[in-house]
Amino acid sequence: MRSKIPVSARVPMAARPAWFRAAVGACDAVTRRMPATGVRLAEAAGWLCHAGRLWGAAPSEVSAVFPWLPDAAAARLARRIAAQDLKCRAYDRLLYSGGIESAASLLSRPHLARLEQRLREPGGQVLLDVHTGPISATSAALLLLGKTALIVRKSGRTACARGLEVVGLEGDDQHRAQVLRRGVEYLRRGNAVVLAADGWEGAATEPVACCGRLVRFRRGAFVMARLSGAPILPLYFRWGDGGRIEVEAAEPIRPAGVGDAVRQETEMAAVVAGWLEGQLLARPDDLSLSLLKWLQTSGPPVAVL
Amino acid sequence: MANLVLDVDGNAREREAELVRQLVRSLAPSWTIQNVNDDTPIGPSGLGLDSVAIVELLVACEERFGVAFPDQLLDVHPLTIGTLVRHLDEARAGR
Repeated sequence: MRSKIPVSARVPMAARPAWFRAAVGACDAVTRRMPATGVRLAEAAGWLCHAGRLWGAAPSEVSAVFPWLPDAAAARLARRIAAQDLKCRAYDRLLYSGGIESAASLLSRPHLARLEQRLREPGGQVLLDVHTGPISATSAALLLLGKTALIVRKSGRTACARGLEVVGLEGDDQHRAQVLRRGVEYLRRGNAVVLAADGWEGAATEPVACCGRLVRFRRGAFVMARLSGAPILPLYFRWGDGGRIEVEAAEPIRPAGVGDAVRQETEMAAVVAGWLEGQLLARPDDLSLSLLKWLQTSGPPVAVL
Repeated sequence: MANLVLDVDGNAREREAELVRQLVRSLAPSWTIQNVNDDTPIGPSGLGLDSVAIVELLVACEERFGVAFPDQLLDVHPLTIGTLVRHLDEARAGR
């Protein structure tokens, strides 16, 4: 029977049909034992679940964000988003269950080497990742590169490994202030701090243009960069050919260091938005379910692309 | 925030407390002299400082007074002006 649930609605896993939960659980179990096979299985499950309208995005939702895409391309991208999302979910579960070293085995070594080049600069760096592809691959990459980093996530349940400290943003403003302060200390000591640009928690930047909309990034990364003087390195991970995880990284963005605080942050946010827009225009397939939802809720379109 | 003018006389601790109040005042949207004392929480339940403003305040205090607050400072809930001044005293005494 066809579900009446809109495919991208935030429906808790427990409310999904039992066979769906069983399929997702099986993917997680296989991924724990054989990561490469497990994520491919999850991808196949994603295609099937999208066909059954149980997971992913509707073509109309994709068209709303990318109005220039032909209908057939929007429909194909909607299916791909569902497949990628379950794949990312399986990958995240692998990390949550302590398999950070197994998760690292899926990273593309040439891409990792390119990231390493960017991270070689002396001093601290704010790694600003985006929810496209397996965002938790940032932890795995830093583990392989032997970096010391503070990883700031919505919840602090991500697997921890040597050199990596994970903190969650769950809590009040005082707790978030503690996280910000800790991040500034990490940066001043020449280490890295990882935060997501998109999301809904905590303080937001002033609106900046991205994909024909006015979006607000999470403000924490920009505050840390401003207070520590460390550059922001925007990046995201994507599923490449053969199930390998690739990384896309921008040029580092340095805080102006002088002038009004909000203006400094907005200038950096505008550069991040421009880079992200350029990436999505060049590679629409990198659009994820999470990023799609974030763009949808960031505000109405301000221009037709 | 940079152009603060100290307009109080008295001992060093009171001047310190007043400067902290001025720093907080420059960051707190809901500050009014009438409803604030040293026990008023600095965060949303009191003066309305959000996470970013709280960190700005701590950094401003550290720069102004030349001290480093302990990591545990923000473990104290809720953070008040009185707590901040007490930690400043301790940090300066241990310097």
